[in-house]
Amino acid sequence: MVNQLAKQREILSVIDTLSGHYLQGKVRALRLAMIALLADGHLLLEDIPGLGKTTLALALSRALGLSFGRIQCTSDLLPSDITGLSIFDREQNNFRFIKGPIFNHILLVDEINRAMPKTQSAMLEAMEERKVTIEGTSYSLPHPFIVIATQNPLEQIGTYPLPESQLDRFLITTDIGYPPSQLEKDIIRDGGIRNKMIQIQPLLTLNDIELAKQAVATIQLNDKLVEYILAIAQASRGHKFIAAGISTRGAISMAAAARAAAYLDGRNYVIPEDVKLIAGPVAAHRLILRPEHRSLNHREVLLSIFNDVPVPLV
Amino acid sequence: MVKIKVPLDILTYLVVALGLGPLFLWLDVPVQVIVFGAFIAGILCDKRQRYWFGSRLATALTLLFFIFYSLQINLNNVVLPVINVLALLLSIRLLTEKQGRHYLQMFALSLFCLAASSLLSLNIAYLPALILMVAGVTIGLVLLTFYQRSPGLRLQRQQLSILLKTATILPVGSLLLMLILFVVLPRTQYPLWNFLNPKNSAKTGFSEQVQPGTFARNVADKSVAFRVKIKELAREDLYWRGTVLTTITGKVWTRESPQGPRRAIVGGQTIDYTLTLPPTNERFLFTLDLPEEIEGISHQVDNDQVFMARRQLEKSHSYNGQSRLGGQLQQPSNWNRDLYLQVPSTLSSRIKLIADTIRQQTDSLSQRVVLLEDFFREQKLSYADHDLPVSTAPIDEFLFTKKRGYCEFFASSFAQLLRLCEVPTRLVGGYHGGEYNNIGGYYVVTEDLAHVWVEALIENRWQRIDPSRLAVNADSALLAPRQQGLSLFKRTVDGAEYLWTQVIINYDLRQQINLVKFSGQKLKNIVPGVVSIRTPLLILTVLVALITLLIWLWRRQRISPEGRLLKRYQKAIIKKYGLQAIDKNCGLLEFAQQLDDPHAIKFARYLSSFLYTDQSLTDDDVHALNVLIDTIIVSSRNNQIP
Repeated sequence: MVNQLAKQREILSVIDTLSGHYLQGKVRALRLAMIALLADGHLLLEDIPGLGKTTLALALSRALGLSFGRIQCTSDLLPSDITGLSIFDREQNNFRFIKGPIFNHILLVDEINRAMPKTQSAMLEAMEERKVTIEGTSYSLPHPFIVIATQNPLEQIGTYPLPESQLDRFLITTDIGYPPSQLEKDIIRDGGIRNKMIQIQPLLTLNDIELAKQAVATIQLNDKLVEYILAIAQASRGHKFIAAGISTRGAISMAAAARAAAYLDGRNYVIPEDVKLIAGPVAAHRLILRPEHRSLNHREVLLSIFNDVPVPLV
Repeated sequence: MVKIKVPLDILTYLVVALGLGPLFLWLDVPVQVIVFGAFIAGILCDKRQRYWFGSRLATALTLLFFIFYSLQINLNNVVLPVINVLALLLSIRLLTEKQGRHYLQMFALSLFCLAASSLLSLNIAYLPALILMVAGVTIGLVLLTFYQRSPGLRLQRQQLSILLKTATILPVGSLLLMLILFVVLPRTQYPLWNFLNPKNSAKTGFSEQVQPGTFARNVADKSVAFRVKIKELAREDLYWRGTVLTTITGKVWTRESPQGPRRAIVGGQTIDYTLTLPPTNERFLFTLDLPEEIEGISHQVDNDQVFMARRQLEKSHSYNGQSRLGGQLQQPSNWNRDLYLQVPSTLSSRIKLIADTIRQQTDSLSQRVVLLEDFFREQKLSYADHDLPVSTAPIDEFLFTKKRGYCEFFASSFAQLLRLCEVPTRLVGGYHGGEYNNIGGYYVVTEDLAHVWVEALIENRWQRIDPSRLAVNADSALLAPRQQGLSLFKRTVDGAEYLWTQVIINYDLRQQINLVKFSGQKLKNIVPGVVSIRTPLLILTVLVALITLLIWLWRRQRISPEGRLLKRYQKAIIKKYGLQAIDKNCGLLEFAQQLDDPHAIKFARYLSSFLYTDQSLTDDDVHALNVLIDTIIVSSRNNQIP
């Protein structure tokens, strides 16, 4: 039988260590990244440059002891730049497959909205399928596999914004935000932490992460909570500001993320607060607002849905 | 979107209609016209937002009406001028521009109008009108508060429906209170003003005297004389006995109460019934002919089976009666025979001649009755209520000239002729017929069924003879109108009115208490072991307590232990932090964290582990959680860890 809170302490210690020494003021983003990892999902960081999106991904990969790949997206980036390609080996007299950066546990896709749609699509497909097929041969991606993509929401020129259907493939979308003033002062004084990155020692093994993921999958999700998630999804579908509400995949994602949140909180069961906690990062980007309400904040709209659905008690 | 003014206006007009409706018939005719016109014009004015009267003109008119009707007020006439003024004030208000306080005035005036109508009549329509009025005014007042705040307010249909639903709680509450007050408070059982000042109009129907030849026309009055709860009877048995008239002076029959012991009734079939009389100025207690006895009302009875109440029947009364259908009253030997043979000296020679002829033909009294009946048939008399004989000798004119008349002519002439034939005779006044209401199982007897018939002493027994049946048109003119059958609508309406009288108007708390006392005494007689009313009362109390306990246990059973703990916890939190209620969209832990109450957080975590898992609470858990709630209650806010 799986220990329902196996490796929870170790996971928390990773968050504590990173947020205490290297990523001050990024606890929330860090926790969400961990939720994405544990729930077998991918993370999209939406924020302006220079707030530590890349640092977060780098630090996480080092602390977790996982292999790390990085793609800097540009408009001329080709799908093969991500997946890898076959080259002719003269000595062997055959084609040899050279794996691209996607064959890492953690893949940082910087400025994903700069890549052209064809490349985006190829990558997102690989994210979903967890394998790459090139010239008739399928190559499985490593396990665990998490994509941490970033995009600058303010940049418009030369970008290809991710369509809603692609956004749906990210379990969690979040921003990072500015660090608190005191912390920012320290950062300014001491400089960035990129140099310190090398000092980060792996705190977990691949096996630890695997055990933790198995534990998360066994967290109890009571019928009341299932009904609660369904009620929220249904309320979003009938909402007057929303053209397309939370899909079934969205609801599944909410349940998975809520399990991971409960695990991180040291519980082997989900409570409504877990659902509320992850709802914004998990569900807000899945809402497609009506054209006349496009200017509204997705999170605010989602909050109004939560205000209409009573929390299950007895 | 609906403007708040629209439902407010609709409610206001409804309330005004409810106020004026019951009063309408009592208003002076010009006022009726003004009120009706103002109601219609008011609606049109509101629709067009253009009003006929400015405030100055309205004030002037109000003063004018007020002065006009003030001058009419005197000790005998107080209420009618007042209700006319009330109706006129309301009419003026309808025709002027309406702001917040004007709506309030209209509500108040309508309420006064409805209240005033109860001074004049306690009609069944009063109750629904009152209920609707209470509902209309209270909901109207809620809408008015919104209107007053923002006259241009527009609400969505959904918002309006929530508002109306919430506002409906108020009238429902006040109606429940009204129910309690109905039981507790004393009230009048007759319309106060109309009873104290009875109208001086002539009333047709039953009267204490029989005086044929006074009116040229007898007008039918459809008002209810009484109602009788009884099984359905044959038409020929429906004779309701009121009084017996013995003496004739000139053309007027009057009553001379016969003295002597009570007489025996022979033959017939016993039948029981309950008779309900409306308030009346008379004291006659009507009975089904031939009555044996009545109970349930203080009365006296003469030996000709005429029942009189000891007190005037100033409110509605019900009493039980027992009669013998087809029974006959025996006449004892010592009696004043001459009283029943006396005739006025002014009778015409033609009448005397008829009597002489009959008398000479036979000695048998019963044969003489038959011969006289034959004479009536030969005369081809017809039953009519107009174009009647009006002269100093109406009987002669009735029998030989006009040959038409109603029951008083038939009975009076027949009785006088019988007396001339030396058959002791008297007149019986009462009612004949009645409409059976098979919904309520009772007869309605109306004033137009008033009737007079004859009793003749043959073979020492008083026998009923109804000479009106000898009319050529008896079947169509006399009998048919007396039992036409009621339409379903009439039966239902009359049934409701009967119920209204029995339950509402005749409701008397003292009577109910007496009934309980009386039942206790009866119980004592029936069950010798029961010493007093206390024992059954005790049993009843224990039973009620037991049922209450069972209901409480059942309801407790229905709520899970988690539910009970949650309820207790919420109560404690609400009390401790002085909250209105706990937000339903807030999770248990989330809320505790917002309060920053460590005990509440502990409780929330503890209970959540049962609420959202398959785990069941053990007794220890329940105890521990209850202890936590106790701690929450005891710990003061100041002691909390921030």
